[in-house]
Amino acid sequence: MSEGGGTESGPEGRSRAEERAAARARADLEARGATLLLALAAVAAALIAGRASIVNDRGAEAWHAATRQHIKQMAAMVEDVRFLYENEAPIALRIVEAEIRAEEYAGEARRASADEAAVLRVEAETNAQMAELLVQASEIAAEPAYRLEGGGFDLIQRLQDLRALNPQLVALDPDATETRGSRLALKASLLFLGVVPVAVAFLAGALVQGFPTRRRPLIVVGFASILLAVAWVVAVELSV
Amino acid sequence: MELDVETARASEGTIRFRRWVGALVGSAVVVVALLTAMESDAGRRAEQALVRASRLSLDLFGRIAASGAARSFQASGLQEALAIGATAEARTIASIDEPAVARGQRAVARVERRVSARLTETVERMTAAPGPRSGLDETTRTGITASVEELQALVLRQNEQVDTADRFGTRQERAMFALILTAIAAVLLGVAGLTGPSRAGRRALGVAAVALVAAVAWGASGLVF
Repeated sequence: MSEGGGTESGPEGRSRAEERAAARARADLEARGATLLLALAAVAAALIAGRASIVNDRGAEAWHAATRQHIKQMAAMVEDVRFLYENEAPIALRIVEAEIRAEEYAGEARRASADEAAVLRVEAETNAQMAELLVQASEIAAEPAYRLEGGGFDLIQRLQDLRALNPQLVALDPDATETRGSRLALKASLLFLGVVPVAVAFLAGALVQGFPTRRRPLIVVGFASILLAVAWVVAVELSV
Repeated sequence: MELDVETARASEGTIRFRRWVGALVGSAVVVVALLTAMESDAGRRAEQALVRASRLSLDLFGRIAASGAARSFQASGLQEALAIGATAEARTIASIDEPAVARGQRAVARVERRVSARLTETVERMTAAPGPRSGLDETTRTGITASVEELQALVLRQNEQVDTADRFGTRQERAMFALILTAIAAVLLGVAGLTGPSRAGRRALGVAAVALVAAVAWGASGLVF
């Protein structure tokens, strides 16, 4: 009866009963370990995937912000350039031309005979008055600081001043925003990789059912994989 | 005794069947993790390439518009100077047949020649390309000085980014299809687990294994092509 699982008698019988009880206790412990492993793997996968998803969203948002900033930056730049070269600069050039004509007609008048000089002086005066008239309509010509040595106006300085009217648009840095987005995207990719060791832990937990004799090493591998995943996630969070 | 042998065989078959189910379920989870990481990464790279392509398009339009406005102003100024010079020459020629006003017209022509020369110099001075130390912000500086070669290089880069987005988009699609195959495999594994080591269960297990292998192959093809 002693081998049939019935009541044991004597020291040998008690010893076997104790071994069986110990084996059952070990099996129970391992079964709980396997269950805990699977539960931990599921929780770890959910946490890692959730965190990676949040980081990924932030990265994507930074990329879209970079595009929005770039649109604003380019629109402002093109508008300033268009205003300068299509609205202000042509008038400034007309003033330059009138001033040059006035100077040259006056110079030629000084060298010409009396009859010709009169006509040339009229031309000089006409152009001088034209220049004076146009100066009143030109913000560039009205500001002496824009006058260039040798003639003409400093359009680059004028453009710089136009741009300075909206400093927040000049200060936009979509490249930096895109770089931030790329860093977050890389971080999200690396975090997602942390799910792989968790999956290995799940694999180990699943194999426990089919390989009862290798329960313990499989459970150890499973927990080690989860620890590896946690270490990976912490390393990524701290370094990227 | 025969009953015991059959029972033992059945038990052995069940254990083997369970092992296969367990191994395939675990493998399916690993495959899902790998495919999810791959799909996610490919999606991000495709999106990044699209963002870059969009930004390069903005760069292109901005630089074309800015450099176009600056060049147009320069060209019209130089044309004006050239026209004044041409007028001077035409005036000189025309005055040959009109001796009464010839001296006066030649004087005007001399003025126009000098105006033409000085206006040309002035236009060139006013439209000189600003250097990096001009004080102008980099976006505007590179915008108004953009050359045709630079714009062509930007077009090439923009096209490259679009191609990159296409490539990673394809990878993402393949990873998603592979995930669907893995999901089918998982369902079949569930069916196998429920039916046990019967004929139907074994068939479900076999089809699940094939679906899992197909998922891996399909996902891997996204990395190659």
